Order: sequence, then C-alpha cells, then structure tokens
Amino acid sequence: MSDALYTVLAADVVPLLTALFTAWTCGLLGMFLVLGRRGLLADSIAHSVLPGLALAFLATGSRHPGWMLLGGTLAGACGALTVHLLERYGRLERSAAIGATFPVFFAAGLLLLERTGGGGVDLSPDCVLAGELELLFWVPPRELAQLLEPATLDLLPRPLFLCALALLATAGFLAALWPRLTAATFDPQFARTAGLRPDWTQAFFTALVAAAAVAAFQAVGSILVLTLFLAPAATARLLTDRLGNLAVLTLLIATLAVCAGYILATRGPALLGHDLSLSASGTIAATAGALLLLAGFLGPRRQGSA
Amino acid sequence: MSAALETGFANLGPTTWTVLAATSLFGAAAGAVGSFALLRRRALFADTIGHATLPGVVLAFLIAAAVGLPPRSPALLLGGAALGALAALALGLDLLRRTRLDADAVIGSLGGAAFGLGLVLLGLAQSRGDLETAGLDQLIFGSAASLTRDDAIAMAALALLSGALLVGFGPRLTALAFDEPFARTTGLAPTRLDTLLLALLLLVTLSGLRAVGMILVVAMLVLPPVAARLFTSKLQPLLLLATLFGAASAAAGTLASGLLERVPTGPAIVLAAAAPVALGFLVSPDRGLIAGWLAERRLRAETLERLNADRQARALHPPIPRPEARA
Repeated sequence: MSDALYTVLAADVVPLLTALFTAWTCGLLGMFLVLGRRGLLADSIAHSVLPGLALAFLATGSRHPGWMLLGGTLAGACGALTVHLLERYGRLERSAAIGATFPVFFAAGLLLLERTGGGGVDLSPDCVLAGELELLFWVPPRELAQLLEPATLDLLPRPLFLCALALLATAGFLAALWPRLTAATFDPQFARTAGLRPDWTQAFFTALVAAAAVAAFQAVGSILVLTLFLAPAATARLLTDRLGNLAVLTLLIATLAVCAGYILATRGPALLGHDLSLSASGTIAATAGALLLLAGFLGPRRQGSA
Repeated sequence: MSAALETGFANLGPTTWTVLAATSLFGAAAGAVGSFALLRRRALFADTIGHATLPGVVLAFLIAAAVGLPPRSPALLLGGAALGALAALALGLDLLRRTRLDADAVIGSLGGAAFGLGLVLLGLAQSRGDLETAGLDQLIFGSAASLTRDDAIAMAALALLSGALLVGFGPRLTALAFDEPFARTTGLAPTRLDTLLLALLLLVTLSGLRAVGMILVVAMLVLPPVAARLFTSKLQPLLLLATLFGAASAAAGTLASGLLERVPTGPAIVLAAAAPVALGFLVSPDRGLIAGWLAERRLRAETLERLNADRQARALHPPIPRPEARA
C-alpha cells in the first residue's frame, strides 16, 4: 500500500464516514421537520441532550455509548415534553416555549460538566460545540488484504459504529413508518380519522430525533448536528416539490456539504501554503449554510407553501 | 451564611460591584425588550443574532491584529459582533421573504452555519501563536469574572441605550404587537418598527455577550417575559415583572458565580432566570400545569355528564361509562 493511501485511510476515512452517516441520518429526519415547520424542535432537542449525557456519566461513572444514548435520549425527550407542556397548558406560542426550554437544559448541562469535570476532554464545553471529528483516527493495517479482517475492524473508533447504527435504525424506522409519517406531517386530521395515530407517530419521531442527536453529538458537536438537521433539508425543499425527490436531494446535498466542508478543512489551508487544519465541523456547517443561501437565490422551487 | 460565602463577599472588589450593576442593567433591558419580542413573536431571532456574533467578533479581531490596532478593545469586538449579526439577520430576512421556508428552518440553519464559520475563524486565530486570543472563546459561554471596568461600562451603556429607545418607541411597538392593521392605518410603518425591534434585540444581545455568552443570551430575552406572562395578562405589569425578573436573575447568577467555585456565569444566570418560569408554570391559576390539567379533567367529566344526560333524555341507554371504568 502506498504511503499516500495509508495516510488517507488513517486520518481521513473515519472522520469523513462518521460525518457522512451523521449528515444522512439528520437529513432524513430533518426533511420531516422542515416539512412540518417544526425545525426548531431539532434545536431544542440537540441542546437538551447535554444534561442527560452529563447525568448518565455522573450516575454510572462510565462513558459507555449505551448509557450516553439512554441518558441523552431521555433528556432530549424531556426537553420536547417540556416544550409541549408549555405550549399546551402555558398557552405560549411555540417559539417562546422552545426559547424558554433549550437554553435552560443547555445551561444545566454546562453547569453539570463544569462541576464534575465532565470525565475528560470528550465532554468538555468546546467539544460539546465542535465535536471531536479530528480525533477519530484509525490505525489501518499495512496490507490491503488485511483491511476487512475482524481484528483490524475492531480498531475502528466507536463513534463511527454508533453513527452507522443510528443511520441504519433511522432508515429502517423511516421505511417502516413512511405512510404514517407522511400522513401525520401533511394532513394530521386525515391521519387521525384514518386511525393512523398521528400523535403517537410524532412522539416516536421525536424520540428518534433525540436518539440521532445523541449518536451524532459526541462525534460532530451540537452546532453541526443542528445545522445538518435543517440546512440540507431546507436547501432540497427549494429545489423540488416531490417527497421522493426531496429525500434523494437532501441526501445528495448533505453529502456535498460534508465532502466539500471536510476537504476545505483538511486540504484548503495547504493549498494556500499554510500548515494548519481548520475545524471540520465548522467548515461543514458553513458549507451547508452557503448551499442553502445559494438555493435561496437560485433554486427553482423557492415560492409556494412550505 | 456559611464561612465560604462570607469570605466570598469580602473578596468582591469594587470592580465586582460595577460588574454586578452592569449585568443587572443588562438583565432589566433584556426583560423589557424581550417582552416586546415575545408579543411580536420575534424572540428566537435573538438565537440567530447571538450565534452570528462569533464570526464577526473573530474577524474583527483578526483584521485589527493584521493592521496593528489593539485587537482586544471592547468597542472593536462589539462592532465586529454587531456587523456579523447584522449580516446574518439581513441574509435570514432576505431568505424568509424570497422563499417559502419558515422562520424555524432559516433561524436554525443560519445560526448554526454562522457559528460554524466563527469556529473555523477562531481556530485560525488560535493557530497563529503570535496572537493573544485568550478571552475570545469566553464570549461563547460568558464569564463575568473576566470583565474589566471598561467592559462593564460598555455593557451598561448598551443596556441603557436599548432601554431609552424602548421608552421612546414602546407605545408604537405595543400597537404593532397587538393590532397590526390598526398600527398601519394610524400611519406607523410595521416594517420599520420590526427593524427597530430587531435592532433592540441586537443591542441587548451585544450588552449581554461578555456576561452570558452568545449561545445562552437568547434565554435572557425569552425567560423573564415568559415568567411574567405566566403571572399576568396585562401589558404594564408584564413589562414591570419581566424587567424585574431579568435584573434579579442576572444579579443572582453573577453573585453565585462570583461566590461559588466552578460556577460559570452564563449558565448560572440562565438557571436563575428559569426559576420564576418553573414556579409560575406550576402554580399559575390560568396558565399553570396543575390548573390546566385539573381544568381539562373537569371539562372531560362535564362533557361526559352532559352527553349522558342527553342520551337519557332521548332514552338512549346505556350511558357511556367513565374512561376509568371502561379500562
């Protein structure tokens, strides 16, 4: 194996795949958030998982992904439930309910991390924002033939598996729930009369969003999770009016944002003669935003109802 | 009071009292401005404003360092923050007007993207070892402990400015929030007033940047008015309560973070501001969790009774059983 290929395998393949899996998971879920005009629900959930992660670590003393997933998903669900209760009984407008919920959860999480030390770098405030994409390196074997042996695959960083699992689970659930979810999103009244239980579908979908946010959180950080939920789906929404096309375009745009952002972060400065690398989470988020602006000015389906 | 707290109070120097006054002023301004933002449904624009200050701040820092200006001066950084937020707001409003996307999608996407850009620039600034970048990242989560007298004065000035503007334009903003057609027919320009409201949000955000941090600053514009809304349905008391809650929680959070070890200021202030919301949401007689739940139960029971009385009158037996009995 050549040295160049080895470097790419060791330094780039795992972060890139992790970011791609996350972007696809978030994009698929974000599609329905954008269509249902509930985009900021992702905001509140992505921020609400933090105290759950901190409490799970405090309670168990381990950072095992299982505990993190449990704590984070529960906290995210609590955040979504708080928003729902504030809307229903406090009769607050939804954006006010969201604004009164997610900063409080996030603040509680930050305070917990600060008080407990957070169990090292992985849960430091910086990592919460920007993730640890750059730290996901791998020691691949010297020979190509050994590439797929269990022993070498075992050395792959755990967040990659978590994100792959999240993608598989999301794709599976979406495939199974597709008719119910489309009915609940486009026409809740019809879904109710047809006995499709839209409330339960939405609650389940919310839990799925929370689980996806937790899986992605440690790898790519809360900022990128939020952007990946909304930006690719919103961009695709400006390009098409068909649900199937929307899914395909969302995935394509997410892929484009991740690849372009990642290359920009790792190879961009070298092209300009600087020896440094940028924050990949940051460049991916910024690229996704730039694509949205581009579609906002040039997209063929900019007008009409959401 | 414990011994630790007493020594803590003794350690609070004159600067601390200035800082405390400045954060309280910021809290009061945030409560008042946030009330109008809440009524006009613009509260979450503060989220985009807060996130989008980061690229502006870091860019201002980098440019100042490149041309030889003192890069850490509060005026310069605040100016950069304002420009960054204005750029994001302009792009976001343009996107909202131009496309069918709703505010949720635009606010979330642009806030995240702008913050990502800011993180990239911050990494760039930090990787140039010759620059004194310490303190830039304190703007993200806020730190009242690191505030100098000048910072506190800048903070107070911004808060007072937004307060003065609010006093001047309050009646017009009220008209707009409650009755837009009326505001239009009396000759007020809704677009211009909405721009003014966003400018007020921006001023308050800038004022709170150093103390609460750019991510959590949105909370101070939402929590005090929401708490006040749970206690009253009249505008004057709402404004008064929101101002009071904002000032008190900012002061309490600053004190807690000054007196206790390892309590960051931003989260402390936000959690203090969440306390009246939690209390109000539990006990409020018309918007409270308990009252609302009881009212729903009562309504369900009454409806069932009325239905059954009706069935009885029309000799439609048997009555519908209560849900508990059915299970």
